[in-house]
Amino acid sequence: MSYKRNIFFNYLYILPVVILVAFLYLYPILYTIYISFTNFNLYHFFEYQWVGLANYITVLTGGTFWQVLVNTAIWTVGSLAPMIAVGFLLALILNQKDLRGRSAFFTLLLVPWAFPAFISLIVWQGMWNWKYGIVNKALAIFGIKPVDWFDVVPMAWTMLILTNLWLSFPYYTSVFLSALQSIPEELYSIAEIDGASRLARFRYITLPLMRKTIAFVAIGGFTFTWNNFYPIYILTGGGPGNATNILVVYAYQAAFNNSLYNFAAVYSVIDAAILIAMAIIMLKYSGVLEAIT
Amino acid sequence: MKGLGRTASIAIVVVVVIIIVAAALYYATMKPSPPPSTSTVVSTTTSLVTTTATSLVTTTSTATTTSVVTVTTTSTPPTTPPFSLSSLLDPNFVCNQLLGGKTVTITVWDTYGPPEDQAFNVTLASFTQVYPCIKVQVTRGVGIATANFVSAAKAGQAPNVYRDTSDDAGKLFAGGLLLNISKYINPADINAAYIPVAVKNFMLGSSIYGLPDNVNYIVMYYNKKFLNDTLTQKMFGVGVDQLNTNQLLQLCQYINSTYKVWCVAYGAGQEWGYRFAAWFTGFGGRIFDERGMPQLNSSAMVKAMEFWYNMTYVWNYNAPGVTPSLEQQLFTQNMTAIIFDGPWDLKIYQKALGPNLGAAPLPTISMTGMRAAPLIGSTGWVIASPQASGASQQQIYASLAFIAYVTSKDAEMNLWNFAGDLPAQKQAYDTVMTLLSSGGLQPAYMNDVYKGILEQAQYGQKFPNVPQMGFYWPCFHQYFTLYFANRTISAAQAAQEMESCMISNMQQAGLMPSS
Repeated sequence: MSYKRNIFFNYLYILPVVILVAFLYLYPILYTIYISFTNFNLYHFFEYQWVGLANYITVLTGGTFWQVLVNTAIWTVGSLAPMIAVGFLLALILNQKDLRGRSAFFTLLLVPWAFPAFISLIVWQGMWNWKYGIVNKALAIFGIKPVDWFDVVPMAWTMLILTNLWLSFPYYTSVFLSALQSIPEELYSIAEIDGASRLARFRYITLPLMRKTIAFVAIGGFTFTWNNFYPIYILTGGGPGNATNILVVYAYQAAFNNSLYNFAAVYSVIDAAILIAMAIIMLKYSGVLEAIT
Repeated sequence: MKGLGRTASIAIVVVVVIIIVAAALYYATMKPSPPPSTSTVVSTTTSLVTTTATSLVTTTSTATTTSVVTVTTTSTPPTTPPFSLSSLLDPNFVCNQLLGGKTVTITVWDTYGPPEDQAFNVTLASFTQVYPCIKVQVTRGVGIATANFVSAAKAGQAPNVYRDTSDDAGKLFAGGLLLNISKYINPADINAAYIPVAVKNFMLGSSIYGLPDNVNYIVMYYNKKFLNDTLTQKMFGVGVDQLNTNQLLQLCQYINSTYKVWCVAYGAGQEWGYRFAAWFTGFGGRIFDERGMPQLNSSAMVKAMEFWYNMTYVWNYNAPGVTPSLEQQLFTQNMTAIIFDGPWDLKIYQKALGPNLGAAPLPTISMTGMRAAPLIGSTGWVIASPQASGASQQQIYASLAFIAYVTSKDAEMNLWNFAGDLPAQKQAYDTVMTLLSSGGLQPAYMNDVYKGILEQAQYGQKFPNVPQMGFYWPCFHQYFTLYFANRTISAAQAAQEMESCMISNMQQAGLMPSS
């Protein structure tokens, strides 16, 4: 009994820290949920009221939300697919034992990571510039007319996805490379002795053993890209119109352009709910948790 | 060592969650301490007006406002609001009467840019010397019209004094974040001290919520190398300041073909509606009707949008895909003839173009015969409400003295001298006008430039500062840029959608005007 009591008191010592951490973590979430049910905005700033589900009904029955949701899916899937493909391909290349200057390549690969993303995006904004940007100047060498990357919707998407690819591929390459290097060399040697071709070794050894890593990276990448604020906010601001706007940027704009904090909270809550649901589904079907635990 | 039993663990978790939820609910529903009672202020005002009127009965029967001015300038100023501007500019009165000899510290957010900041430094140094009883803590580099003020206000930590645009401050005032200055300073004094348009910019209903430090609007800057009075006189028999849009198109054709530069650099594809409002009005439109309902869904909006689309993508007179900074680069590097910008960037253009710099009002729209009319706005100093800043009454009084001082004649002359800001204070404005009319500016070519800038003021429009204006920018931007994006939607659809967007936002904010 005395032992149990001691244990109980031992746990009480860490209670303040638990409360503090939980408060810092939970308070913003609970507060966001709370104000999403009120009329809290700049014009009802100090005194606001509970309005129930009215804000949610307004958002879900309006057309903009669905457009922005589709955009968010385009942005996430459109970015994630090339990021994984390029990351995996580069990892396979860098994993070649006979590749000269592997370390130099790998160091160069980390360059996009070395710069703060915000600065990189400002630089990219200049590079995509219609008049002075190096992208249009490079295209001009091949006789291609300057492209208005910011004002034409398909071009804006292309620009965003390519910029995000540049920003993100070092992460994917690094993770894939470390996973590739953890595959026992003996498996390849045995397969080679058995007469397996390069393709067969890739198909029957590399891919199955990389499956969990790919799933892990895909889930992590999905959640990160879904809420990746800066590329869109800095490069297009969600424009032209709302054509490239995503939920997280739209929520920000609702709060800080329109001063409608309650609606910003609604977008944030819905955004988080969708993301949590999708993450649970993906985790369940990919088996990543089993691999980790 | 064994862990806690399941029941104990659950109990701890439940307790923690209950504590957090209770704390969250407490803070979420907590109301900040109330500001000084409005009714107190009102009753004070009433008693002052009554007393003043009584004392002047024998001398005059004119309007009460005139009487108030007379009393405050001739006798001991009252120590309860509203004060006269002159009493707030009297350090003895402020330090000894209002602040009771105590030292009061106020916080100030400075939103000036680099050249203006030089002027502000001079004014600030002078203020701290003249008012030893007021300590000023300045935070520099704060963005103008940003959300930082709102965030700080929510926490009850807003600065006592802030400098903002008149329209953004209008939103803050509507939200109760700013002080109603007209309850603390005689409105008649404010009307007498500042030029009317600047005072109106800081008025919502009959309340004044700020003191203006300048007047601003866009004009047409041009490069005389490509476009000048000689050329326009020869082509059309008028000066650059009398051009219409048909003539502008002919000029653009001439400039493009002769000099191989852009005629205009106007980043319409990135527009938020500030500069476009001038064209919209010129085509016969208006942003709000008398009730405060948006009027963007109009043929004027459609025609104005089509005009700029054609200028950019059909006639190729306007550079496509440009941002404001790129516009400046093109203009300062002699790669475009015309740019639409305000006096705040004048020094940049003066440095780059020297005597080749010209300024004129925006052209007349040939279709309507009306001038493109830019929004005539102001920036100025505002005071956070006690609820937003937690200010004491003495801090409010010190803040009033501060904003009176930084918008006084000397302060606004400093802004004119260092940054070329057009004064909003009447005496400073008159001084500048006298200087300009005598051609006393150096270098001499700047006299003509300022003449063009001031000429534009005749053709401007009042900057709407109703809170609904806050929705004009994002809604306009959203649908105008979509139209400009290869005409993803038609101009008519864009006009319709931007108005619907504004109405929808107004409904969501509870800002629909009562019918």
